[in-house]
Formats: sequence, C-alpha cells, structure tokens
Amino acid sequence: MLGLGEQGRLVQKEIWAVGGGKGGTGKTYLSASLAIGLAKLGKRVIAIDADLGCANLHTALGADPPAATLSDFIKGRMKTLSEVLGETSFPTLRLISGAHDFLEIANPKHTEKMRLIRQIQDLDVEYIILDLGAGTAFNSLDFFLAADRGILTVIPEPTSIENVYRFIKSAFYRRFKRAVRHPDMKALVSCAMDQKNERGIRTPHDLMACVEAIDSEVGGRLRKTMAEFSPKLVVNQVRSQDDAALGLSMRSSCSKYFGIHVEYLGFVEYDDCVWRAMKRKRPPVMEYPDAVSSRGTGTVLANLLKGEQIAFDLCVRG
Amino acid sequence: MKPFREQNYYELLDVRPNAEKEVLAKAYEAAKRAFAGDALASYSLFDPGERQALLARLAEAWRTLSDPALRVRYDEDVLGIRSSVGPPAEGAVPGPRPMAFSYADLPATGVTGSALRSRREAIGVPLQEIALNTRISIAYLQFIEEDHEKGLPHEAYLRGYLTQYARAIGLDPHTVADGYLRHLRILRSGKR
Repeated sequence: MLGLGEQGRLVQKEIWAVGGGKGGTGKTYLSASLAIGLAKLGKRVIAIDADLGCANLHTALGADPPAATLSDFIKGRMKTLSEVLGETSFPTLRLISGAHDFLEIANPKHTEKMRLIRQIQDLDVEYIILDLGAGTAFNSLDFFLAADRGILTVIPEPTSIENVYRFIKSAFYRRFKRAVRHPDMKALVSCAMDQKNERGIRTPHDLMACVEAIDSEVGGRLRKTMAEFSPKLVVNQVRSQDDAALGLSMRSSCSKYFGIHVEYLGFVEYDDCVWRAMKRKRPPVMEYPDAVSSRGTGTVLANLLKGEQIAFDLCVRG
Repeated sequence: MKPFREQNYYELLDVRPNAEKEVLAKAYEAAKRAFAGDALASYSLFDPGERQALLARLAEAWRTLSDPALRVRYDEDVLGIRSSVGPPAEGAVPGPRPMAFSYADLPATGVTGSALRSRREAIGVPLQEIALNTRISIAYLQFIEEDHEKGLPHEAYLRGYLTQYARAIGLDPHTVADGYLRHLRILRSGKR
C-alpha cells in the first residue's frame, strides 16, 4: 500500500494482521516475533495491539505498559494515533497498546473502529503489525480485512483447526458483502452465512456460483475481487512431521472445499524456550535467537518478505 | 483455486504438471491421509458423501497419472499440453514402483536380509533414501540386509527399524518384522 508520510513523501507501507480464531494459538507470540524480526532488519515498524478486550502485546515485546493506549484514542482523549505511540527497547519498533481499562472499549462503535482503521492506514512507517483478538467478532474480521496480508495461526488440534476454517469463511463473507452494492446480493450473503439456508449455499464457492447465475457480470467482477482473498497460514506448536504437513493439508482442503486460495507460510516447532522466555516476560526471539522456534518464525518472516510460501510439491512424510 | 469438482488431476494432487512419478506417488499418499474420515485437516469440512466423491476423484487422478500412456493422453486431450514426461520408450518398460503391499513374492519364512535387499533393488529404492526418510542410520540398514547379527541393535529397537524399512519398500511391516526376527533367532541358534 502506498501512503503519504508526515512530510508528504510517498512511503511503501505494508500492514500485516495476525489472527486465527482460537485463543492460545500464538497470535501475540507471532506478532511480537515478526515485529522484532523486522526491527532487527532495520525496518521502521509499529506493532498495534488490536485485541481490544485482552491486550498484552506489550508484555510479549518485553515493554512496560505504556502510559497512553488505544482507549485514549477511541474515546477521543487523544486526537491522533501518533500520540499514543509507545517506545520499545528497539529503536525502530514502536508500539500502540490495546485498551486496559474500559470494558466497553472491547466493542467500539462502527464509526470509532473505522476512524481507527483509517488512521492506522495513515501511519508513517514501513510495516504495521496488527495483533488481533481471538474469535470471529466483526472487530477481528475488519482489522484482518484492512490488512495487506492476513496471517492465521493454527495449532494441530481439532478446535483450533475448526476455528480457523470458520474465521476464513466469515472473513470471506464479510469481504464479499462489502464488495457488492445491490441489496439483493447483500441479502444473499446474509442468507449464505446461515449454515442451514434454504438455497443450499454451503461454501463460498456455492455463493459465487449463485451470484453468477443471477448476474454474470457482477459475478465475474466479484470472482476477480475474491481471488485476491488469500489468507496466510502458520502452524504453531509443531511436534511431528504430520503436524508440519497439516498446513499443506489445510491449504488443499480450503481449495477443494471453499475454493479459497490459502498460502502456507511455514511452521513453528513446539519449544520450551518460548515458555521459559515468556515466564520472564522476555521475547523468545531475543532470549533464544537460535532456538528452533525462533528459526521457525524467522522462516515465516522471510517468506512474508519474499512473498513466497512452502514449496508446492513438498510432502512431509510422517 | 477451484473446488475439487473443477480441479484437474494435477491440482487435485497438489503437484505441478511436470511432476515426476515419485512425487505423484507421495502426493497421492498424502492426499489420501489428508482426506481420510478422521483426518485433522478435513474432518470438519466434508460430509461423508462429498468425502467419498473426493477420494474417488483422487483415486481416478492417481490411476491416470501413474500410467505413462494414460497420462500422455490426459495431458494432451484434457489439458491440451504436450506431456513433459514423454511416452514410454519402446522395449524399456521401467515398471512403476509397487506402492501397494505385494508380499506374495516373499513368503513369511523366507524373510532374510538378502531377500529384502533384492526386493529393494528390484523396485529401485536406494538405501540412502530409506535412511533419509526413516532417519535410521544407514549402517543399521546395511546390517539388516547383510544379516549382520553382531551389528544389529537390541530386538526392541530392531523391530521398529524393520517395520519402517518394510514400509519404505512397500511390504507389510508386521510380517517383515516377525519373519526377520524369527530368521535371526534361527541364525543365532545355529551358531551356538
């Protein structure tokens, strides 16, 4: 994304959002690792804790709870996002902390949220990392869709995998609904989101086919827009080769079932170093830069920067 | 990306159209695992009917692509591309690697190191490849094939090695492990 910097110059900027549905799958850990990794490469980075209800990205980054938070911005006590920027121990990495106080901040009004997203897009920086909350609430979906790259963390457990699929589907429908203008089409999406709908629409692909049957021109245009929807997958807490191959199977499943193109960025091995570092409130990638987990997040970062994913033909055998 | 009913055989198996046969075989095995009824990645998506349809499509893809002649025809007729694999040369029929269990040529009483080695050589799998895939030291694999009693590890470990080795050359793991250990015991008692 191109944006205007503070001095009016053009800056190349990328927003990466890390979500994933279920809690405890390593969203904050991955956000912090990516932000630190970018800062170590000398990039100017802002990490934003978009988990409005349960903010703790500052802890994962090894920073103190900042004086100003997103709630100051949302409630209008501070006019711009730059006023709530906090420093970290990395010179090029700054932090916008989530809300710590009000309960209602977890559910900002639509206008408040859109103002926030607009200002995020206007920040003068090279990379913005958004750490999203668990679940498929509109908050998480909207931040996810506002990003240039949406990353999903999954752990090799049924509950986590189910939630990731649900997240992908919800995000797809929400983006779809925004892309269509006609009220009939919007109604069709609402109908499709009900799993037991009368029209028999069960997958995003069914929905697309349904739209094309009604209006082929709109359908064709939509198909192009939605082809750009390509969530990235990271498998965390990998303990075996089968776990690592899960990303490939999920990518294949998403294509075969939803007709959605998912990219598998890489995996992070299960590693006690992460737990050890977290207990000391230190970022694992700083405490143990050579640990398997840190190498894993390093690969994920490299793939994001190169725009690559895990090899097409790779077949990890258990 | 397209849903499976619209995918071509290569897309179904997640491989490039110029993929070699070994890659296809691995991809097919991986796909069968990924879309089995209890598979973590797909159990929550497909209902039994769809799953059956998908597995049938996968089997069809494998049947076609694993046969060089059928593959050439599929590439030309359906995809409209000149096959990168090339038609099978006259006379030289390398024969596909037997993936499925075919134990008929190796009776349970005849499981010896040399029998296993000839089976492996017949299907053209190098020992290095097995060592790499199973992470078993190549020395142990050689000892197995040489019936090198002294070099072999304790039976508890050996059984595990044998099952993995058997799988790698497409044999039934239990029959091979049982047969080989029996063979080893006979060898040892003969020497005493």
